[in-house]
Amino acid sequence: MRRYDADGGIPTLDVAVSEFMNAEDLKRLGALTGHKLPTRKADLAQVIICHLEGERIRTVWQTLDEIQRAAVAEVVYSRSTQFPADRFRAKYGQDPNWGSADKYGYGGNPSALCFFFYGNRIMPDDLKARLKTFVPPPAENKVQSLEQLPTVYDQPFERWNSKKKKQEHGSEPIQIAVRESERSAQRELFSVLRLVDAGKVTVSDKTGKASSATIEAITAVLDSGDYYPFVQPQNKWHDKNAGPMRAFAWPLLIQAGGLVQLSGSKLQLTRAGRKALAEPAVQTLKTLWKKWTDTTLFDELSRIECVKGQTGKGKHGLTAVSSRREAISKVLTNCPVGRWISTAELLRFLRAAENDFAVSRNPWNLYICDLQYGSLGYAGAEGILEERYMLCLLFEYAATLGLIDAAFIPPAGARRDYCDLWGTDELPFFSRYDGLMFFRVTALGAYSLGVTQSYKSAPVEVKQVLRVLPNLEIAAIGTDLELGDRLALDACAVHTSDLIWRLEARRLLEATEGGSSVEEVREFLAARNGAPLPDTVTRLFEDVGNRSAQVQDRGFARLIECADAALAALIAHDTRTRKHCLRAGECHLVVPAGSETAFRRGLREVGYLVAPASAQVANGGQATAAKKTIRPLAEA
Amino acid sequence: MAAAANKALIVQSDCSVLLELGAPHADDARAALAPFAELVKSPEHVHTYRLTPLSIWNARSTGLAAEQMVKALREHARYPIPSNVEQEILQLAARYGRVVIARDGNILRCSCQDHITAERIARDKGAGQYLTDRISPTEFRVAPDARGVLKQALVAAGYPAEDLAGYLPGEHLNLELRANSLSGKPFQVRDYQRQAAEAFHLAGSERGGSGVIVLPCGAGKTIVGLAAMDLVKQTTLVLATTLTSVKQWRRELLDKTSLRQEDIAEYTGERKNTGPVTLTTYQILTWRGDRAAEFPHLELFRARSWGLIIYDEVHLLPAPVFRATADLQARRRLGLTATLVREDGRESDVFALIGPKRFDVPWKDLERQAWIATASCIELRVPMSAERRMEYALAERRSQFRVAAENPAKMIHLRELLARYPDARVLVIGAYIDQVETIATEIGAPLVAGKTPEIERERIYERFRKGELRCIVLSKVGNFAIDLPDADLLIQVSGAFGSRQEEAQRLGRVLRPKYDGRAARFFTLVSRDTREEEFAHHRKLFLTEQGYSYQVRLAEELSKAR
Repeated sequence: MRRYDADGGIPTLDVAVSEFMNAEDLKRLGALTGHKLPTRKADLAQVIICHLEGERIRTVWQTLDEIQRAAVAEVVYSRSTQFPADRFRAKYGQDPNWGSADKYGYGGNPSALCFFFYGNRIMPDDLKARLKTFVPPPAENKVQSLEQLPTVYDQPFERWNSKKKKQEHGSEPIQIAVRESERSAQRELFSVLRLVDAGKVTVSDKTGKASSATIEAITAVLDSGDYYPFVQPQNKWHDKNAGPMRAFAWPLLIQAGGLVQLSGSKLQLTRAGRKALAEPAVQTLKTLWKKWTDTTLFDELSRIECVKGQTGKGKHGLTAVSSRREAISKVLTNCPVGRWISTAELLRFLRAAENDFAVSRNPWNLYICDLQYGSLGYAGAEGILEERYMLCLLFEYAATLGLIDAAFIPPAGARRDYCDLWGTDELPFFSRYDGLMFFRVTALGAYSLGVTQSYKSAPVEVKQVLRVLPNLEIAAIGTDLELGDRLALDACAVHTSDLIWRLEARRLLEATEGGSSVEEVREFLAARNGAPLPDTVTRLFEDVGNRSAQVQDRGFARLIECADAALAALIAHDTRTRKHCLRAGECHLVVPAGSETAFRRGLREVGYLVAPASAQVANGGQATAAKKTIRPLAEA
Repeated sequence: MAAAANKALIVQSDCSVLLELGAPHADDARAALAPFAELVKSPEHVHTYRLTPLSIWNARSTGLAAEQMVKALREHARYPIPSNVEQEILQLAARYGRVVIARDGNILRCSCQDHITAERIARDKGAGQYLTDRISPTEFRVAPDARGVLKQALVAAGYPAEDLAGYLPGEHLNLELRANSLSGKPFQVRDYQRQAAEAFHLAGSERGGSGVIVLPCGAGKTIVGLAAMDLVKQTTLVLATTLTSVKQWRRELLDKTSLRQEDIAEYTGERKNTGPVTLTTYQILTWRGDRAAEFPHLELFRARSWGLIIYDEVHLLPAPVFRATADLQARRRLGLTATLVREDGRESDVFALIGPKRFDVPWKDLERQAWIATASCIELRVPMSAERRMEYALAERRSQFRVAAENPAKMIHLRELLARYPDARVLVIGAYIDQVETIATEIGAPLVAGKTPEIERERIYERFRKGELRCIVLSKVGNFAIDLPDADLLIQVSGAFGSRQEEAQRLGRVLRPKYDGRAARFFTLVSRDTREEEFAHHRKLFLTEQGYSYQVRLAEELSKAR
């Protein structure tokens, strides 16, 4: 029966009234026309069609109230002909008046709005085309923002008063903490990369997640630590610590961004990572966000640990992470820069926008505690995953990269929308991100999201915390020496006492060999030194810079041993072989790996061949056979 | 009180203290810190001091209490003082004065503050052997001739003795400082020189009379010696490093005091006389016929009843003289030096046997007050020719330094420097005789080397002083005690392997204040990309740490600039 098959829409009003309405429906709708109604269904349908014929449709539309007109306009100016109930509710805060209905939602008397929607509230195509000629477009979906952030958040509570023996409801003010991330993100990026350079970032080779020791080390280099400092819980059943967020996110972000690569269990800087250390952080942060939105390295949903089934049955129903991030990223582009927006408002805005997203296609397989009782497919769990996913992406990744400033309260008790779900009684919070209450898109965020084409914020303030002395010592005299700076100093200088490092040519050469450049070190020190670098230091850098470029690695070569010095001289001077080898000592020749074939060919023409060495050189238990000997061809 | 961020001191857990000169109250902080901390280095911006047992005991010897030291640190420290440092100060300071050596008739009495200390030192392997006779639970009798070695052993045991045993009176010396020097110029002891002498003498009390004065080269340590002699007014033995230095002492004594020629005797290789004031060298005192023999000339210490013994350049005091000095604790002893840093680390012997540091003043302070000339130091990197580089490359590692040091290309740049400063009074100093001989011949300047007779040396120096000579080429003999006040350009063509002392002493040759206030220049020529650079690096450390601006230039750059 066609009336149940409206996925492709309803082509005409004729089809709608004949195929998607029964006689009873037509009678109730026809009653709104004010005409005497016939009894046959076909005649009833004709009454409706006539009522909307020609210019009469405009008259009918004009009888609609404001919200009803908005409902019509939303569909008329939408790609779909289906009325978007959820989106409409999110945008207008209410449903349009569809008329009265019985307690099951059926029957009752329809409103005039029902002249435009049939079946499962679908607007016929021809009707839509006619309406479009006079119906004005719907109001634009706008996000509400605040100039000033409230200092406190009135957090509703519901708790049992054991003395009064009754349940208490109310709200209490909670101080809102603000973390401005635009500059700190730039500093933290360098600090984390330096930590990687110092070989102090260890991650799991399977998941890419940082070890707990690494998270501690990263937390120490973060500006003022992570969002929520660790508080010793009263007992293990009442642990309200949110745990690390930025410290957790940074290793994943830089892995996804290709700034680091895994070497064993440790991360090491790639060429891009090393380049990032020498460049302003802004571009790198933009790239990191872009790459993060595309990465499949990690699904943020896994950070909402109370949601089980993510690696089991529920895994198949999860939507692509990139599509979720893209939806959130897109909605962020519509947020005004520099104004505070509540996360609830952003969620509303997201739902009201056409590019809403879902975390799972089948939430029945995701659950809390127990698949049967705690499934998130039950009523009451709608939207909870999407909201928490959005909070996670914003708080843990966007804010870490400096795209947004975050205003937050402790997560425990911050949101109560999950409290009616089965199995949540013991949870201090649904996710560690529940405390994010407001955010503000930064100028860096606008640039990273592509809203603005350039970024002209003040450069990252580099604190002049060092004194580079002419005796090649570096004294950390400032009160704000960051751990990242300490690591950078450790990498290029010798730590001689609490706050003193000494520049040494040998250490600089080591750093250069490890991939740093003397220029990087010079810039690092120059930026943090309160005065121009002393002449002695500048000269040291020049010396090391020159020396580090004077010996070049030209690849592997093979050492060939000749029977005697005369033979070595013969081969080294013969026109057929001399281009491909170099003399090394009396009886030895060195053949670059790239010339080996040509050398062997020339050698055969001279009348010799390279025989494998009879005695192999054992070195530390590993046999190497790089040395070859030359024998006459006849003998061979 | 200054805000924490503005405070000048940073106390580190290894007992070093950084003084940031740019901090608003840096001068106050330095004044508070200097009495009980040793200035280790003083490059621009940040000076490093170190709290050592000796520095704290030195301070205690001047009456500074441990609590005052801690208070000074707390008042000026930017960050909280590491607890170990505070404890270290309190504990070390508490040790000073626990043991006192005093005279009791003809014997010496070693008294301990408490029974535990007495037991501790009695059982000490080093000190215990000299505490022969126990008078009471906390007192020991000590043989007078063990006074020095006991003090040495007590310092080693960590319980420095306060020596209140006093001094034997020497023969009276009729000495007055002149108001006008013999050469006719007005003469006055500078304030800091007088303060230094008075800090040593302490009005003749038992607490004074022995100690070390630290003043930079060119600041007039000899004058401090003369002022001390004037205060003591007793027969004096002066120990100097070289014969040239002896001559300089003689010249200064005659010029600036009422002493006559016959009052001053020289006990040197040339003549061995003693007089009310006797001048000698470490070299002659430590001479002996063979390695197993005694040092016959150490008897000079007992030749007269000296009222004062002056050790010039005390940081170079040789071991035999230390041993002899241990027996001379009943004589007043004055050490003079530009630095207490001894390459052999025997600073504690200087403390125990000569005495605590009585006076110290940073080089840069005197430079600001124009008591010593301002100096700029430039290291000039001279390239080697291709042939020389090959010779260097093929030389044995130990010979490479010499190949680099004697780089003939240095001659070109030496000439350039001489041409660049046509009015300068020049000293050229090198470490290798062949090299300095060649240079002397090429530039037509007289050479003073070890084999140059003393009379000839004096003649050359005199001609230089009179302005008849513009340039002198010196071998290592020029390192010390050449008083050529007008020299203002020193060109070092080669130096010893990284000796910081040598570099500082050589610079000292041109630091005498100039009558027209012009600055001194110190060029050191170093062969580029050779080991000489490494050694030069060590040598220059000392000067940069003393606050001298040290530039490193490529020779080509300087030539182009010209």
